[in-house]
Amino acid sequence: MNVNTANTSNIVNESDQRIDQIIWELDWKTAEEAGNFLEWEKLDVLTLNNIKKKLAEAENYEMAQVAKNMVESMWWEEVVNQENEISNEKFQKNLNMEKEENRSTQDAQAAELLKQLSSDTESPESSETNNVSQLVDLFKTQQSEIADLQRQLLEAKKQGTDTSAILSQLRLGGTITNEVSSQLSTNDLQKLKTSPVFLRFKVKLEKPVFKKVEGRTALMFPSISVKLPKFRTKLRSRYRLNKTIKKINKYKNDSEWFMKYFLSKRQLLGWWPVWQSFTAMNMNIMKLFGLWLTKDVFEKEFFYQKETFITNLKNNITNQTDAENTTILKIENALDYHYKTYMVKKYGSYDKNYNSYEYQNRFKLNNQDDVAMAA
Amino acid sequence: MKTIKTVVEYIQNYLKEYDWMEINYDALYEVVENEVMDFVSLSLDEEEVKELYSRNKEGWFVDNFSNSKFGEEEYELLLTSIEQDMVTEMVSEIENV
Repeated sequence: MNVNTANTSNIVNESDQRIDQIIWELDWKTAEEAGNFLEWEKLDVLTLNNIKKKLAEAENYEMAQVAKNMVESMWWEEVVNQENEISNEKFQKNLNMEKEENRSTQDAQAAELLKQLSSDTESPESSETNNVSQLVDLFKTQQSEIADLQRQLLEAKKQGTDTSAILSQLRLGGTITNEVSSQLSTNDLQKLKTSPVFLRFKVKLEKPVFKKVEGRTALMFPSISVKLPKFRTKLRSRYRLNKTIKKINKYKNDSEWFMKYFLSKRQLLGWWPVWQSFTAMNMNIMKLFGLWLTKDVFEKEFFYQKETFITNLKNNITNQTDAENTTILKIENALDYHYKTYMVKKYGSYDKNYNSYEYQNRFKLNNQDDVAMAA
Repeated sequence: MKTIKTVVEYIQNYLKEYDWMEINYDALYEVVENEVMDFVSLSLDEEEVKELYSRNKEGWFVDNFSNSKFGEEEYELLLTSIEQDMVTEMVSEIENV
């Protein structure tokens, strides 16, 4: 993928009329149908983000959440792509050549922003200091609101009452998120770009892109650009999905912890993203799931426990919906796929009429060490 | 003073009280520490980033370094932001939303 063209082509704003039409369509759909519909529409991140904002303003939190999930999914995809590309030397060469030939407007803007960043970091104005101070207050207010909501959530959970409304509020960052967002957009950002806490907030709000500018990687927000230190040649995604995958890999030998962790990670590898990715062929998540399974984890954790795992998965859900059942089936199929792939790799063939226990026994007979481990 | 350790303990306690499983302390600590370092390092020069990443395993280094660099108030805001986001994220996972 070409970063230059992708960044510009992805940021194609749809007209308000189109957005209103989509929101009207969503009004008639369930969350699952809405997810499919938005995916089908192949909207860019910016449009989806606008849809999310409008839905939240209209207090349609359920649909806002669906749009938010889509934005995060696309953002994650973009980060994976870009991280892969940044680490790919060949791609870098092509990118540099292309940059020489056709420097995009965005590159020029980025260079200008970087220039400003270099020259303007000193001597903040007094008005700017006041703005920052107001923003700190606003931020504290928001954190206090979220802390209060989290206390309410705990109470509601203890009392067994419905937590969904509180949780929706929390996931949208409380009621004053838009106010903070608007302050961040309009504030003089000279001070803010040296403040990790506000950068973090901006990352959450604006979903910046990573971009190579003049040999440096920059974190590009719509309003500011931040140079990343040269020392960090490969960016780590702030997305905890990435980090959690690493944690899972790190602790994969602890079967009990691993199994509990997996089962608890419905959001991570569970219903919505897995269902979405498996049905819509979101290859990045699929690839992660595949990598995660095909390496050590599948062989050590799932090879002998595939049936148990699926049973646990089913038992862990009450009142299964059709979508959840479909997801389980998809996961089951994915496990089967990896199982078959493994057997073909191991034995050179795969019997179409295979019986998993039969293959497991064959495997056990040929792998005494693993037998001991499984026991 | 708020530290990475107190954030991890808060998240653990919250989720335990919320009727969830216990989270592995070391795994959670690393996730929180990574998140802190990701954002702290955006505002540092190269030498400081090198120092942060080479000495982060020293006890309290990330906390002490960030506190002295950005001030207690700002560091606490950052930690609280991470703490709250992670609680919300994990509860969302439990509730399957």
